Amino acid sequence: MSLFSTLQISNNALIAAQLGLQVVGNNIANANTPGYVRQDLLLQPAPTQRYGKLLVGTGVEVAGIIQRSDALLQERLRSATSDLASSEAQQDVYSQLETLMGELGDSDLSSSLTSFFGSLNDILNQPESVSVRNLAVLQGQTLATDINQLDSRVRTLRSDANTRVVAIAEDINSLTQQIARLNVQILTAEGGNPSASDAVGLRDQREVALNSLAKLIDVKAVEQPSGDVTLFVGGDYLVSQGTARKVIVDYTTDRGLSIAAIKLAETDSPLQSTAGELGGLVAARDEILGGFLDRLDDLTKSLISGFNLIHASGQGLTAYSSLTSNRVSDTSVALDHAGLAFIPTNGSFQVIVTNKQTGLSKTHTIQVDLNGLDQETSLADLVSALDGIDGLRASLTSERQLQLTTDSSPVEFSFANDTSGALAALGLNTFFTGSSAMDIAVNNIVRQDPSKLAASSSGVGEDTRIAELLANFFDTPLNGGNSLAVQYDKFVADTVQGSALTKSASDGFRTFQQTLEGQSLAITSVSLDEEAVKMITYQRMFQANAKLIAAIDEMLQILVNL
Amino acid sequence: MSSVYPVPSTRASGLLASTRLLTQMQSDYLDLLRLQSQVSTGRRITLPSEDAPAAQRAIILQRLLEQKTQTRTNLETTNSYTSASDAAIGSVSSLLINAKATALGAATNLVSDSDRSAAAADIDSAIRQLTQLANQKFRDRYLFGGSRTGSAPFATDGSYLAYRGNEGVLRSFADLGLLYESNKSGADVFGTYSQQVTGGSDLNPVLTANTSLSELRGGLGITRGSIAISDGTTTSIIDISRAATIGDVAAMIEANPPSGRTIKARVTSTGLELQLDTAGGGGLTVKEVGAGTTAAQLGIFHPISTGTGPLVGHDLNPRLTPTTKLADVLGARAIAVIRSDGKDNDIILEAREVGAADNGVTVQFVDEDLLQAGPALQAGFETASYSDTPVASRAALSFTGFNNNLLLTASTPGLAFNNVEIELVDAGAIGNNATVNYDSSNKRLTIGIDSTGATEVQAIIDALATEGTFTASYDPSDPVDGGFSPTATVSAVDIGTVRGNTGNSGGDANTIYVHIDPGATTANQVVAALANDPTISARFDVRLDLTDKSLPINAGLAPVSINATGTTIEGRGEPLDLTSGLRIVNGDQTYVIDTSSAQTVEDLINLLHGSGANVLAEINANGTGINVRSLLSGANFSIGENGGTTATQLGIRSFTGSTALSDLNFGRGVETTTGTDFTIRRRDGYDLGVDVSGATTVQQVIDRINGDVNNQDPATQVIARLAAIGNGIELIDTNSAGIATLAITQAFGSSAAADLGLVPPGSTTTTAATSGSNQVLTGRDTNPQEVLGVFNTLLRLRDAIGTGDLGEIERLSAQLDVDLNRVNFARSDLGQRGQALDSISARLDDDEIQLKDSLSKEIDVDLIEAITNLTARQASYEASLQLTGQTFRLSLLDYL
Repeated sequence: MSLFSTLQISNNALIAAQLGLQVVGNNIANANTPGYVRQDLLLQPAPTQRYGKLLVGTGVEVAGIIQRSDALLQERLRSATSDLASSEAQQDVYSQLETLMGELGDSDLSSSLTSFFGSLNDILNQPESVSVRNLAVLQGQTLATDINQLDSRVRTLRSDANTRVVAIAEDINSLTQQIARLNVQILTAEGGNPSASDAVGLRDQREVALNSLAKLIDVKAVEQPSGDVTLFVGGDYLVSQGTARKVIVDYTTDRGLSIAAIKLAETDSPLQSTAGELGGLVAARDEILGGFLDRLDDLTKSLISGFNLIHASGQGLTAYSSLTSNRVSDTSVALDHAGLAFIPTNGSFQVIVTNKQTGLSKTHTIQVDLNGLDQETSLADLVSALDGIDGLRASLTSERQLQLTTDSSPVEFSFANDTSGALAALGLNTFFTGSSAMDIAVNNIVRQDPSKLAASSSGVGEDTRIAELLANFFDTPLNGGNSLAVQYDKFVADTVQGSALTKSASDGFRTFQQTLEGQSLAITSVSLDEEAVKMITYQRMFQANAKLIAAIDEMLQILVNL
Repeated sequence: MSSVYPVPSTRASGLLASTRLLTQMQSDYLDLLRLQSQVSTGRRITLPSEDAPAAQRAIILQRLLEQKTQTRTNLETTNSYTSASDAAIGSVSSLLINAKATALGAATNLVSDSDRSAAAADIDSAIRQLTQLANQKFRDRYLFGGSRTGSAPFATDGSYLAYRGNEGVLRSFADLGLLYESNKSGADVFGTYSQQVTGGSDLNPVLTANTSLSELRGGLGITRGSIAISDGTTTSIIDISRAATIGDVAAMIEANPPSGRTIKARVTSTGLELQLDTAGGGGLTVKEVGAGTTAAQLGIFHPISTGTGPLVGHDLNPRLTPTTKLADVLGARAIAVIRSDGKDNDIILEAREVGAADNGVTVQFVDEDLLQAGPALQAGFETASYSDTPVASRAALSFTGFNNNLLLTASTPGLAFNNVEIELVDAGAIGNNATVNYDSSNKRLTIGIDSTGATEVQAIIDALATEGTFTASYDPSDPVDGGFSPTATVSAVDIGTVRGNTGNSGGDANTIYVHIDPGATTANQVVAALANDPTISARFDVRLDLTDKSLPINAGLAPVSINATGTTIEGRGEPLDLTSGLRIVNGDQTYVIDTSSAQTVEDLINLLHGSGANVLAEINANGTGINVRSLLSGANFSIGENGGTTATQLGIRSFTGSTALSDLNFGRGVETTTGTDFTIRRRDGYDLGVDVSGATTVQQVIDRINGDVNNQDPATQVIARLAAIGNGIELIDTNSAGIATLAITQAFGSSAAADLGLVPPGSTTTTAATSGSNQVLTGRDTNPQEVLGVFNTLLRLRDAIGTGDLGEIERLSAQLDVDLNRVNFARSDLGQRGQALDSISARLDDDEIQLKDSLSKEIDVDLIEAITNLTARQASYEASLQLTGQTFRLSLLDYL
């Protein structure tokens, strides 16, 4: 025990105060740095010295500089961030979808549908007018185009979401590499002993990278005793110490789009991430947008098949002199297995052959035997049955289509009473062509000659029974089920409700995430007032120790002057 | 409004405070923007998800409003047509009233010729005006053409006026789901059709496998549910919802029998016939599934076991359709199915003509080998023959040695001696003798011969002749045997080895025998043999039963069973006479319709329409026959025979035995007097008095002539009948020995002969024309039909006034009242429609207001509320800003 040792104590205290001020200074300097975790100087009493019987303290010792953060809270925050990112991605897509549908406005699909069926009502008002029929054809085209456009816009949204998925793969790779690198640096800096001082800036950077990654995928970060973090996604590890596993993009085809899936390059197994922006985008792409496309397709199919089924049994203001059917996959197999978009059933249809000169018609019933037992009707059978009709010539084209022509110019033909759906399925005497939202269109024949729009049921231009059915088709229950109107309403309602649900879910996640973030900020971020208090404390500590040194100096002076 | 998260309880930092304040400001600002947008657009929600339930209601309301807008257009259009029609009809009544006044003025003898022709000219001008009205066009639509709105509905040639429109109704939607008629056809307003010429005859089309289910039960169709078919042990539920034709139903029943059994389902000419196989198990029952009615509708509901017999379904009564074949009406063709064991070998024999005459023809397969000692018949060389008399059973005996083959023939023809076994036994040492014994209970013929072979063949022939059941003669079929030698002996080696069997060689009258090679002859070969025989193929169509095939390529390739047989049944009715044709008179023209080319009902209708006779032919509402109506106003219309029975069979003859006398002469009937109304002078000079009084139909008058006690001697009698060509009553006297001429004289005070058309109008007597050795007196058709309508009345009135036919003027004056009523009815109907349209229109206005109100409630913003909220939010935002400023200003550093 000597004065010098006391001087040494003061010296240590002065160093501690200076370090304290440096930590405070660092905290104040980083008060607004995002991701910065405030630091604290850990002071502890230095070990005691035995002096005779006494144990004398040897002053203060700086134990380390540590970061103030709650690892568990950070982990929860990351998880909440993932959920929020996922639901925000979905909400985003939903609101774009709603804007595309334009419901509540005047340019939505609902208005197109109403206008189209309204124009059919006008045929009832003026059945003799070709121009009114032309208007109905034009409205039909508008409706078809609206459906096409809605379909193609939603497909664009899907493709955008898909592009973002590809970009996310690159982001993941760059973030995981960064984290792996930081792991090594932190390990080197801390020497594998994180209980002492933290590798401050490096850990902050790693935290920022982890949070960014959490926005993309629902990643689980586990800090190892040595200070490095291991990242898990699902059951697979993504980063371990200095190794980052690379992810790659793999493509498959779904609903006409080459969709991207992110996989681990090493094992070729898909990344099991349901949350994060990636999860949200995949759900948006496959379930929300994909589901929307499916529903739109179903609705369009109902429209095409139901409308055509009625239309095919009717006659326009003029009859046909030639007609070509849709293509089948095989002309000799039963029509319900011939690859047609709409499947005909057991039944029959009638062909009416009219001689324009005499005005007389002859009806021929063509059986379409699809009862599932034997003698099932194929396209080739239909051709021979139709070819057997006096005045008609039926043949198969090289494209596996049915071609119907008449023997001579005054002879024309029309169709009636199709109970089999074969005419509609083969595209004979139909209004719409196509079989999905992507390719629905108005039949070229009707487009070029609106007088072919079938309104009559008892002969060319005779009555308007078919037009009555067509005009009321929108509100007529289909196959004993829902009408097209109800189907459409359900379609819109499901989308709108999905959107509303996602929005409220996303609000919930946001509140939760913000709460956690608030808690985290409360722990990790800098309070200037607090730092000011610490600053004064260290200042005073410095002053007091300086005074002590002055006192010892005086005492030494006395000793020297003895 | 964005949610605000809670303040952490432990510590606060500067970054926390700034983040929180920023969030708060963002949230306030967002709300401000939202409220501002609500106030400026007037909409509470811009995206449906902002208030999903309200948005969904709004979307439906918006659509309803859009639809109502279209409905309004529909209503206005309908209203304009209704008003235009009403306006056009308005002047019809007054024209008709004027015409009636003119008619009444001309209905006396006191009018001069010039006045009459002036009156006729008045009527003519009324007709022209009315024609113009009736052909009126409005918005490109001919108002009175029914649903044929594109061409003028009335066409006139001066004498007559033809209607080219139809009775079609045009409808449009006056409200959602509410169809409203927008036209009145010319038929409704003016009357454009004659009464339908329809008989009571049901053409009763035959059921075929291709008959659609919807055509059954007179067009009521079949509810496509399920039926339960059971053999008492297991039940098979058959869903016929995919069936379109009755043939499908039969096929589905055959394809789904109760497990382990087989069912043959056949479409007969009237219904279904189900036959369960004869294997063990119970009988067939057919029940409904649940509370269905499908089995009952199919006519095969049969909850009690049928035993072993077939289940014969009820008459399914298919309705007449345009495509019904005329060969399939008024009866059915006899049919037989010859079923052999297994698949691919059933054969159908169907008569070519409708009728019962071809019933009862049986097909038998005969084993040719049993019939002759000669070389066997090879498959591919089958023969078929038909016999209308019974055929005796036969069997050949081929003995060892030469010159001794025998053919045994049963003494009694028929089926009784079929399958008789013939055997040769040892009768001991009997020398040149033979014994014969016939055991009828076992159907066994035993011939005993000498054990040493001493029996000569003649002895056997004699013994058989003595016994009497069979006779024997030499069988020359085997050339190797040489020729017949009565002294050729029968070797003892043959005892017990030579056998014979009569098989199926005998048969009743009307049997077709097909000689086959059993086990080798296929169904196809039998069909070919039957078709090759001219007698058989002239009467019957022979084909494979394709429902029996296993695979299409196998059809007809399996051998037939020797004992398979079939008898034609179900032939009934009579063929429709299509060779004679029809004779239609309409106006001045007679149209002979040659029906020989018609194959379907539609062909017939087309022939009528295309004949130029101005008639409308259509299938009647019940689907039992066709109706024919005239479209030519002012003309006399009748349908008669052209020498055959076509019109009568089709039920469209306008003058038949059942025609009521009171209907004759446009309802003026037949005027009679007490006692004899007219006298027929026969060729034998006898005057046959006929009293028509009390007779009500044409047939009764004919019966009175034919049934008169003084007209029963075949040598001298005169026969009355309906004319063979055209219409009217015809008298025929075939007594070529008579010296008088067949004549009719009408009695004083009676006009019955004239009214029946037997004497020309205005005269009292007529004489017959000679036709070969007969004398024939053909009467007029006094039951012409006419269009019941304005134009018919006026055209006839014009002519009646011109000729001064007072009776006709009187009749037509009364008819004018009927016409006036029709026009007024049509007018009041139109007026009522106009009113109804007005009230619908008013309701539409109310609806629209209500809908708009509801829509507004759903999506429009409540301005007061929105502005209040805006103000509140503004205040809160201001406070937030202020607080932010103040909070950030506070710092400990200020006080150091």
